[in-house]
Amino acid sequence: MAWLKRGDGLKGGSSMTEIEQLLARQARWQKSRKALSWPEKIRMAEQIRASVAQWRSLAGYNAAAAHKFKSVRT
Amino acid sequence: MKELAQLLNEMQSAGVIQNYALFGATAQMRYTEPVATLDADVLVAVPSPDRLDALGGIYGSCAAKGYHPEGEAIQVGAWPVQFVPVFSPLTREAMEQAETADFEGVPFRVVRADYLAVIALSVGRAKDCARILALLESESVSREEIERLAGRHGLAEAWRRFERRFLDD
Repeated sequence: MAWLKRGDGLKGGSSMTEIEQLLARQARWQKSRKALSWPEKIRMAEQIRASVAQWRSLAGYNAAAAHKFKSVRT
Repeated sequence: MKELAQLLNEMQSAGVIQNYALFGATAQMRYTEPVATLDADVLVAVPSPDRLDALGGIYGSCAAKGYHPEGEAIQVGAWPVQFVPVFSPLTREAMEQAETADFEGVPFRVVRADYLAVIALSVGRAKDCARILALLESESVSREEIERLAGRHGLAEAWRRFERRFLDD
């Protein structure tokens, strides 16, 4: 993260070039996702759904565990 | 999703529903990047929309095929599906004007990009605003097309507000 240090990173514009390259790569990646077929995008969304559901159940489990721990202590 | 397309086509052939069209985030993905969504939304026209249990026929037909309710939705394959009876002239027109897409060899009626944008405009939550912007960015619909359709459905002022907030410099 040295390139984020005030003053240093912007010398000669090299850091901006890195950021611009990063943004350009991201834009290409986003375009490639947009170019997928609809069924492929739906499959990708199914994977996102599964991850969100897993995260939610884990968050629920953690909240319940924290509540139980608090009840035991009081 | 292919399973849902087959189910909807079967229900339409059997007269359980008169017509249908997929809308919401899963329909948006025809035009944009994939987006995170928890369920699939389907606009439906049912034979007796004024009955208290307007969706009773759909639920019965789904149950007979082994698809059961989970909360407000019916689980079809990987997707909880929300059946939404057409509730306004805009949603009826969106369903009737839907395109028939091909989903892995199965015909699947899907609401067009301009109607997706104007339905989102009529709802107006933050995620709906994001949907309109994503559709515009994908160039699947133009500002002029949205303006025309919004104007026909009494949403001209809502569109002007949206333009001022998100699009005008």
